[in-house]
Amino acid sequence: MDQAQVLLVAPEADAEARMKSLQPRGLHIAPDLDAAGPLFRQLLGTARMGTQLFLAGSEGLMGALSALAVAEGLPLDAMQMEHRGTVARRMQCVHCKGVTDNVTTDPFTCSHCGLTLFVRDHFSRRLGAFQGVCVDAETPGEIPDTVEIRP
Amino acid sequence: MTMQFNDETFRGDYTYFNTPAAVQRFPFPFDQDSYMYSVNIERHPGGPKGTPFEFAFDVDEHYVAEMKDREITLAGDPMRCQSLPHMELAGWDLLELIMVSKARDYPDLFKLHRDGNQWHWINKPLDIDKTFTFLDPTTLPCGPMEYITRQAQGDYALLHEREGNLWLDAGMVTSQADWSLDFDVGMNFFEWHAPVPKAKKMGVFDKALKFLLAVEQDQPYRRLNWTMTVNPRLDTSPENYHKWGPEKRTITPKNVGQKQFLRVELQTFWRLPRSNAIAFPIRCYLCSLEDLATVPKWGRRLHRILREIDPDLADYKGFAVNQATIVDYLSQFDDGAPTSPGIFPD
Amino acid sequence: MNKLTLQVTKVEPLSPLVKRFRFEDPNGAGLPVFSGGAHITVEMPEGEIIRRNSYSLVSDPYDGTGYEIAVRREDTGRGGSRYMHEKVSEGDLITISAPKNMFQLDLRARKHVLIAGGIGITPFLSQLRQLDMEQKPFELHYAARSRKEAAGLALLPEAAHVHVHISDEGARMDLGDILDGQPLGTHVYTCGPEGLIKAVADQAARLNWPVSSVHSEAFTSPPPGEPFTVTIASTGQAITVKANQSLLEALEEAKVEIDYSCRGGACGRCETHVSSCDGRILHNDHWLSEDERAAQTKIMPCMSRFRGATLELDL
Repeated sequence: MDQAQVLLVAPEADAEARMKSLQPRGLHIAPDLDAAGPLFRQLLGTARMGTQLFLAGSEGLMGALSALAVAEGLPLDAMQMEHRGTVARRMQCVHCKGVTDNVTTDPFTCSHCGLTLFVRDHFSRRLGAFQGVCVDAETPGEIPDTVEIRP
Repeated sequence: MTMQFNDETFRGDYTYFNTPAAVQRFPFPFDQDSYMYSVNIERHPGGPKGTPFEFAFDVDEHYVAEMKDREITLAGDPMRCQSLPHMELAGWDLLELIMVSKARDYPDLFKLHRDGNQWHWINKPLDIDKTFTFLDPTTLPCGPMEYITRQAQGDYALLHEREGNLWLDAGMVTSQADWSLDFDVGMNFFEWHAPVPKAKKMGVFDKALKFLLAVEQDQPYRRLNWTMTVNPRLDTSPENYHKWGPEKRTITPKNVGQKQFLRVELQTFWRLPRSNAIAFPIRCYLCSLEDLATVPKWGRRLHRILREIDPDLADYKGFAVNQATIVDYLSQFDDGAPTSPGIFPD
Repeated sequence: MNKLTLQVTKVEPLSPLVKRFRFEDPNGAGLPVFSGGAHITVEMPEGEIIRRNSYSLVSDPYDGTGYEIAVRREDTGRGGSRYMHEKVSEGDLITISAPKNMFQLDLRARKHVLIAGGIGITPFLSQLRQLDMEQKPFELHYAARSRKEAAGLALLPEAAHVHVHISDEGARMDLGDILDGQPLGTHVYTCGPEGLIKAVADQAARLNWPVSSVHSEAFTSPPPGEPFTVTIASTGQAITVKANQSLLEALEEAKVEIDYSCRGGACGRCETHVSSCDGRILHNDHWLSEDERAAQTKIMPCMSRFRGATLELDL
């Protein structure tokens, strides 16, 4: 831990204290994923070869931050990811390119362009998101029943 | 050799047409009366005179119109052309390959004069006259891959070889059969093929990757792939699916002959010399069922194939919903007579 | 397999054991350009045997006027390098393969660290041109026993990022020093003796570098050995492999088609199934896994040999 930089994103009440007691070299808190980005990039800027990245959390968090890390030169095989928490998916709408976080149903509504999208089981590591495609393009208005996304 | 270029559209009013000569040279992909996934690879170029297999990068009557259609697609969605930074050298390799090939094979249409790295390129059909410095990106209006693929029919994927795999790190994709470059860029061979049904079980992609990794400089290959499209539309992208998807449901027994198209991809594979990357051009040819049936052998064969095809495959190739109508229409051209082996008309 | 027939236009010693050869098209035509780190396979016909060895190109990859290789004479091999040194002269015609590359630079790298031991300097020489164009930082570390033996010295630029370690002069290469503290996105490339390649890999692993950032090329050529016979399953043909000839070369002599690329046991292209084996396969490659070697159902003909009663190849 004395070599570790820890970044907690929107941590629970006692998480900070518990982490402090493990005495990492550095401990940083970000209120949300948007704020975490620049801070994460800054930390990576001081990293050297041999640095390992561990990401634990929702798919959204892991997707966004792993994409950032790759862009900063961290090789894919230097990352380990473990899914914790919600099974909600991070979805990119293939039509408007907008990303909708916390998607728990299939189909779902794109939070940007409003099209109804089905959840395609096709994942882009670069974007850190699954692909959403218009579900009623051929039959406008005919939408299949909504189901919960299972892990 | 003077070539006439069609004034036609691939969207909206769909004025696209094939002259009888274009129909005769169409790369019909089926060499026998039943269809199965296969590797079906051949050396390229090389083929009967006048066919799309004769030259490295086939230029036909649709050239000018296709490049205009690409321009429209790119203006609406620039993300159809992407090149990760390390792929610029591969872009230069592709530019050289296409310019040298076109100038050699169509000397009336294209000219290339090289003096060291000072190049002079003339593209008569598109009215381009450009001098630039090879390997110097500041002397072109855009990256080398984008520059040359705006002048070459078909889509292009540039694959980076590393870790025993191939990675889709650059491409110009405006005439694809329903896949998104923007989503797939950066994926490896298995990842971007993930949506293809059944092939994983058959180990087809392991063999295909092994083959591609073994492709060497100056030893290109080709294969044919096919799907079906309603209307002669090049931009059948997932991005615009909500625009072209509804057209699928407009097929009726009366219009299926004119509106249903066989879409054939002539895929070629090239090892690029300076970057050691693999270039993967995907050239798209469209022909309506009505026009195809003017070749008796093709009318019979297509009927038999589409009648017997695996339903999963019909679904994946995008015509399951119209399969019955299509097969019905084609049955009038099938008198049960035997067909000769091979793809060419009798 | 694309082949070129070229003329030897220059043979020059670079050191007591290393000669440089230059090949040009006999009609003055331009040769295909290539990527840094590429190699060619040279055919060496001698009597009934044709040996084929792969050599890294050391010339400028974008200069199509000629190809150059540097060959170190090995006296304990099956005679390929000896042939090059003793039998190849200026004016001769020679058949080579088109360039192939199994040691390319990863252009995503933010920095390249190149480590060469002895004749292993050769693939890096053709990469220098590409590295200059890339304008990304790089370090080259060249270890040789003595200045006299350092054949590559004359071909290297004098620059701060080119480090020469001559062990005779007491300068040893400290791999820990070289690898520690490199920025994210560094790739390391090693070419030289197996021991050096392993040492770099071990050091990188100790420092937690991911394997995708560690590249190497080993120079191996098929070892000689006792003659042995193999049978071709489909025809029953018996082929004898001579002492100073590889199994792959013997198969080629008998006109049995085998796909190949590196001829050094690394690329996997010549992998051949064994339909029957009564004896012991002497695996000299880097391709098959431990399990595959033990099972004796596969063999890499470019490098491996056999001792025993029968070896039948599924060809």
